[in-house]
Amino acid sequence: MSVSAVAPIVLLSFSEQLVTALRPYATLILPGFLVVFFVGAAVAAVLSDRWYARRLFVACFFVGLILSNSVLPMAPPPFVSWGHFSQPTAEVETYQEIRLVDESGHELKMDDKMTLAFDSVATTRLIKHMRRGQNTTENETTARLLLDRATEYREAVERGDAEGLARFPSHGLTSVWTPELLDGHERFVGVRVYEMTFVTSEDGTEVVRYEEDVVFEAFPLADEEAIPSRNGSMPTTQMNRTGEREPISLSLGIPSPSPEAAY
Amino acid sequence: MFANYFDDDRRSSPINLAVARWVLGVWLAWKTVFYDWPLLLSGVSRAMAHDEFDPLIPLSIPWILTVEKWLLIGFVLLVIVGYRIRVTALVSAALAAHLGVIRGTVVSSGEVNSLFIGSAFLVFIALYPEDDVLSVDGLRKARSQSLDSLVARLKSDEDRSYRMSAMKYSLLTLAILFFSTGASKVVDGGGPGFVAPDNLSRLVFLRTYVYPWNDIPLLLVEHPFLGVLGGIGTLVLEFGFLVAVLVGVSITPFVVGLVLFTLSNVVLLGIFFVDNLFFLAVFAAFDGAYRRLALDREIDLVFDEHCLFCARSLYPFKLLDIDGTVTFYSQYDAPDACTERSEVDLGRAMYVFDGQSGYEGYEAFRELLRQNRLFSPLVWVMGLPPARSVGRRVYRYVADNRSRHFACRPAELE
Repeated sequence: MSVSAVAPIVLLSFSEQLVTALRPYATLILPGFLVVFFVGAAVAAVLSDRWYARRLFVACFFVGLILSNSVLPMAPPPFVSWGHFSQPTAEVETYQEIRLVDESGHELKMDDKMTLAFDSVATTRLIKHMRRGQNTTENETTARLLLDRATEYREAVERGDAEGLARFPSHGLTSVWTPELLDGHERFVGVRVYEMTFVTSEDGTEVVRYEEDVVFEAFPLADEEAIPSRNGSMPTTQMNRTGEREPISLSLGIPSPSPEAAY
Repeated sequence: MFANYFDDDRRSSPINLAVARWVLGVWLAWKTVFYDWPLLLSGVSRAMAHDEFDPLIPLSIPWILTVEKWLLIGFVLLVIVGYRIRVTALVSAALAAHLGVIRGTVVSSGEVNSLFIGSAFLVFIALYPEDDVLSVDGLRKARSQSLDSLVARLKSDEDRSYRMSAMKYSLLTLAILFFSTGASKVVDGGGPGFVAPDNLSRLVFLRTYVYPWNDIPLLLVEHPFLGVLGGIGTLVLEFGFLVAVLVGVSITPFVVGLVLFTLSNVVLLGIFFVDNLFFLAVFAAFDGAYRRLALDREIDLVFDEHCLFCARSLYPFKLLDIDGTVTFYSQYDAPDACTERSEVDLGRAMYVFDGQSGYEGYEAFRELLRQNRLFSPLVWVMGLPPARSVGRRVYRYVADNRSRHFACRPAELE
């Protein structure tokens, strides 16, 4: 292996070790870095009549930007590093999603925008948090908070206040609740987090197997004996999915999922 | 269509920098104004938040984020008009980054990263405020100039050259980011893995189930070569953008391609990366469009060279006259063809002559604006009877009292 090939690996390894070593001090380093960045910018602006001030700041900025996008495993704000779907897909892909469950057991995929009053959060982080819950009480608290938001957002959607056409487009677009969609649902009483596994063909054009498992559920607004049973189903390419999804045959003339499918 | 500021950060007009400030400011205000920022510090959001930036997060007084938002919008509006750019752009940058950090506690996607990118652009604008002449700061600076230097500036036909360092560094920043995302596709994909037909088919195919949006992506699945072409095109654009910037060739094909790439993402995957449209738009050659809207008629303008107020008022028109179609004269060097007209009284008003007609005072200003079709709506409004009536009276009052109230020295004191 040539030196030029080894050098980046060594550098990457070193930077990862460095980040691991510094992680316990992240609450000091990351905010400190942000503050230092803007203090540096202010100093460069104030001393702009000196030839070196701005050049030095700009040079440091680009060194930081390039490092953040090459050897550093993370980009400390205000530096950024883009991914843009760079991770290659595999034949087995796993996704997670949150569904609200109503009193009758009907499920409705969470509209991402409900968590922040019309703007989205990273549901993966929310799911991780729920799965990481240390005890039942903590999980129930999170579920209750989510249900509270869902109820508020549902009311806004039903009133027609959630269209927000003038708002800056929020990132991503998943399930979008509409008054018509919500009309078929009773009061939300619980939350389920699903792990959905898609096994695709080699050429990526067919789903040959589909499984979904509940990895977390909490029903803080339902009586224990009235917790609705699970109504697993196959996702469809329809915009707003509900609990009444039918096990369809997948598109492109693909046969129905195999009997192994877990629904 | 788009300017490679890294190759040459000088333009023949200051328009691009002013419009870039406007684009950036509008984007940032639009992006932040509707947001309920304190909500990030409560309920579900807080429960799931990262804690690395807790020392910078006002957990006990979440309402302060609403104040911060309005402060940011206030400062951004000042940046848009170009008032005290060094301070307002820097404060806007810091506030945007701070709000970005708070938003980043629950989202780590491109919509948060874009706040940091916008913040970096604003920092560059703050570092080079002297470049920004078509701004309130530029006009304030003109106010500090002596009458003689202003008059000389108006009359001079000097080479028009305006430096735009902020644009140069912002462009380089964006190009590096695009290059790095291309590089990550190659590295993460193990070489050509990203453009492999199965990868792209699977990417869009599964998203039609997990994040249902529309059925258009299925076309890519049915025709894998389209996906491969798209994948290769994406890499060419992301790598080529930085190469074009550094080598100094036109960036237009790459920027247009990246805009199409962003729009195709919206169609195929959902609303992603729309902030990039604003960032790329910042580098559009607005001065080219402005030039195409300009009339090619040559006009002569005659003004009172003893009037500081007049010279200051005409200075923006000098900046906007990017093709030099307006020739500025004072009453002492005006062409005879202008001064010999019976209706002309140069001691009474400013005049514009277009070779056929002469326009006095308020009408002269209207003719100056008519030089570019961009101002046609304003020209139309100025031509409406009520506006015209008021405008003429205001002009008459200012002209008649310019030596008394408007910092002008009468000719007899020269």
